[in-house]
Order: sequence, then structure tokens, then C-alpha cells
Amino acid sequence: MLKQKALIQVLEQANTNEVTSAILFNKEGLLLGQSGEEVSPTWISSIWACFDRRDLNESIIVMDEGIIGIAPVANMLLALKASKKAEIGMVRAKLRAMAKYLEGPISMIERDV
Amino acid sequence: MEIVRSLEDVRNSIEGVSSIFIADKDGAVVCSVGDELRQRSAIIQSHRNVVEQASRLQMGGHKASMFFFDPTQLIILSFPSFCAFFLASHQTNTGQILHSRRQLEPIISEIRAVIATETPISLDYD
Repeated sequence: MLKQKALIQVLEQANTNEVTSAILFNKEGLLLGQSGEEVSPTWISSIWACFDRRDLNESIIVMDEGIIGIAPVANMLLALKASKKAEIGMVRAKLRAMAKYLEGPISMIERDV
Repeated sequence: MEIVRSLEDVRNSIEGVSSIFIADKDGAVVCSVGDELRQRSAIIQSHRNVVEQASRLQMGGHKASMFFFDPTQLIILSFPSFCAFFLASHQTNTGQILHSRRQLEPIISEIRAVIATETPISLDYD
């Protein structure tokens, strides 16, 4: 079973070095867990869907006011939102590390469902 | 010709970049160098959808997008009225592509100047 509190604690670990939000949601934009500033999973899942292919590993969108990083975790999506002061390499590194960490537990939930 | 040559210089300066193309705000390709891509219009359309969805996040205008596929990466740089698309191998230095914005700015300005000086074709009969 998914421990919501533990999931949020894990997501919270990303929120340093100008990363302001970490969010886990499914491809339909339904939220599983979020830490930090509120971000709409609906729009982020729509962004991912624009280029969604089996071989898409990661996507980074740089906007005037910040950066969004998205990566798949099992059949879900993990997104990090960072301020414009954040370094893209740091956002990518955190995204990869967190996606790798969550891959095992989230795959297990999917199997149970 | 000078525009194409300058764009080719940008492509040659970054190892692993197979194709660069520049599209205007309507999605029409203005110039391209390197491999001819079959899915070019699909990429442009997908990018337009990304920009539209991203605008809803209230984070200002679009500056750049990076999509990392298994053997390739797609980097898109936004300029006023134009977008530059880079298709490169997975090993290509992404930072180098992002820094090529400075090299692209004069090329984009030149494209803008060429388009501005083009005389519109009139379809009216005298």
C-alpha cells in the first residue's frame, strides 16, 4: 500500500537549490503526491503527452519565470518545478535521482493495483 | 545562402547534431541544414502544443525545451517569432546547444531582415 506521508517526505527532499515543488501524478493528470508550491498536474501531463513516445526518457521546459522537469516513473510521471535562478543541470540531476528512487516502490503499487 | 552557411557552421560546431531547422511562428520551415526529417511538421505541431500548454502554468514565455529520447535528443530554442529545432545524438553536449543561442541570434535577425524586404506578391489583375 502507498504510504502518502512517506511519499511526500521523499518528494520534499527535492525542494532545495531553487527547486520549489515536486509532484507525482499519473498520465491522466491525477495527483498522487505533492510537496512545495502548487503546480497543476493537468497541464504538466498535457505537456508530456505532446511528445509522449515509448522512448521519451525526460523533458525539460525552460520558461521566463522558471523551469519544469518531467520524467516517467513506472507508469506515472514525476515533475519538478524550479525558479528561473535554478541551474538546468541541477534540476535534471534531481529529477533523475528521484525518478530512480521512486521507480521500485511505484512499480510495486502498480502491480498490486 | 549566407544564412544557410551560417546555420551549417553552427551545426558543425557542435558534435553530434544531425539536423537544425528554423520555423516561423506559423510553423513554416524557413531554413534547414543537415538530415532531412520526415517528421518535421509533426515536431513543429507538438512543440506548438507544448508552448500552448506551458503558457497555462503562469511561468511567463517559452525560452527552450529539451526532450531526451532513447538514442536522440530534441532541443528547441524560442526567439521572437521564430523557433530553432536541434536534433542530436544522446551523447551531444546539451549545454553547448543551449549556448548556441548567441550564434543563432544574428542568423535569426538576418532571416527577419530578408522577410521584411520581400515584396508581397499581389494576386490582383490590373
